[in-house]
Amino acid sequence: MKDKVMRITISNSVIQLFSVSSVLFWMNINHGAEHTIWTGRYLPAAINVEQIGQYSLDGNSIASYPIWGYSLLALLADKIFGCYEAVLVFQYLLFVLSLIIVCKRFYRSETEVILTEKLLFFGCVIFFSMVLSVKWPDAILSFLLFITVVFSLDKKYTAGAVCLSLAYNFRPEALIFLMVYLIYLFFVIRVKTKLRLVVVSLVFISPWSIYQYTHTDRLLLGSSNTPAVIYITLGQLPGNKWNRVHNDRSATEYVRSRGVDDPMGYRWRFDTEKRSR
Amino acid sequence: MIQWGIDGGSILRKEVADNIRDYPIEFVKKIAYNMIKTVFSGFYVTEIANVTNDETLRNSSKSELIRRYMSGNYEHSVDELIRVVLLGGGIYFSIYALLSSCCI
Repeated sequence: MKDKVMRITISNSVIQLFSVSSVLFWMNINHGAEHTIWTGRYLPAAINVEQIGQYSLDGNSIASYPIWGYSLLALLADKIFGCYEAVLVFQYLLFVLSLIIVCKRFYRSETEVILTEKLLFFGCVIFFSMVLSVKWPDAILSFLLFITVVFSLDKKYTAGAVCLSLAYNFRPEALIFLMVYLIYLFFVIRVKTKLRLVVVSLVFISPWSIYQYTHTDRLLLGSSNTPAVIYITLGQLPGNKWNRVHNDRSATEYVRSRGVDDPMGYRWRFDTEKRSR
Repeated sequence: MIQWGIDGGSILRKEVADNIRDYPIEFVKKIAYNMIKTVFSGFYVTEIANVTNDETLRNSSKSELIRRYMSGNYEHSVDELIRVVLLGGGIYFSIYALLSSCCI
C-alpha cells in the first residue's frame, strides 16, 4: 500500500517536474549566450555545407573554427523540420530522454524520497533543461557527458567512449574528457578492450582532422581559435602584468603586427590556393 | 613534413608560453581568479552583454542587474535574473571552471 502511494506521489512529482522544466526550456530558447556565434558561425557554415558542400563561413574558404558538429546538427534539423533553429527540437528530445533515464534509474526501486533529495533532483533537472535550451553546442556536450556517466554505470565503456568522441565534434575540449576517461578505464578499471576503445575513439575524432588536412594540407586537432582564446584570457585578470586585455581584437592586432592576417583560422580558399601553393 | 595548426596559433602560443615563464605567479593568480569567478558567477556571465539591446545593461555588472531587478527598474528583470541565476551555477560549469582556468 505504501509503495503504491509512494509511486503515485513520485509519478505526480515527475509530471510536475517535467511540466515546469519544459516550460522553462521553451521560455529560454531565445537566450543570448553565444547567439552571435550561432548567427555568425554555426548558421552560415550549415548553409554553406548545404549549398556548396563545403564547411565554410564565407563561401570561399574552409572554416577551421568553430568545429563542425553543431552546424551539421542544425543542417539535419533543417532537412527534417525545415528550419535550422529546429536544432532546439533535438535538444528538447535529448532533455526528455535524460529525464526518462534518470527517473527510470533512480525512482525504479525507490520507496523513500526525502525532501532535500527531491529538491536537489528538481534543481539539477531544471538547471539541465536550461543548459539544453540554448542554441549552443554546450547543450549537446552536456547531454553526452551525462549519457557517458550513465553508460559507465552500466559498464558499457565503449558506448561511453563513443559519446565522448562524438562530443569532441561539438566542443573540442571533450578531447580532454575523453583522454581522462580512457586513462581511467585503462589504469583504474583496467578494461581488456583497450584497442577497441582507442579505435572507436579515433573513428569519431579523426574525420575533422582528415577534412582539414585534405583541404588545407594542415593537421588540426580541435578548432583553430584555441591559441587566440588562451592569449586573450590572460587579460581576464584585472591589472595583470602582461598588460593584456580580454578581447578578440588584441589577439588580432598582435598576430597582424607579426605579418599574419587571422589569429582564429586560415584563409584557405577552395582548391585554387591549395593548387597554387 | 606535416604542418600543424595555423600560423597565428603558433605565434600566440609562443607568446603565452613566454608570458607564463616571465610571470608564473601572475598565471597562478589568473587561474585562481577565473576559478572563483566561474564557480560563483558562471562561465558565461559576460554573455549577459548579448542578452539585451539595452545599452546601459550591456555595461552593467551582475550586481547592477540584480539591483535593477530589486528596484523594479527593468522591464525584463525577472526573465534576466532567472537566466543569470540558472546559468550561473551547477556542476557543469564547475567542470568548465577547472578547464577554463587550466587550459583556456
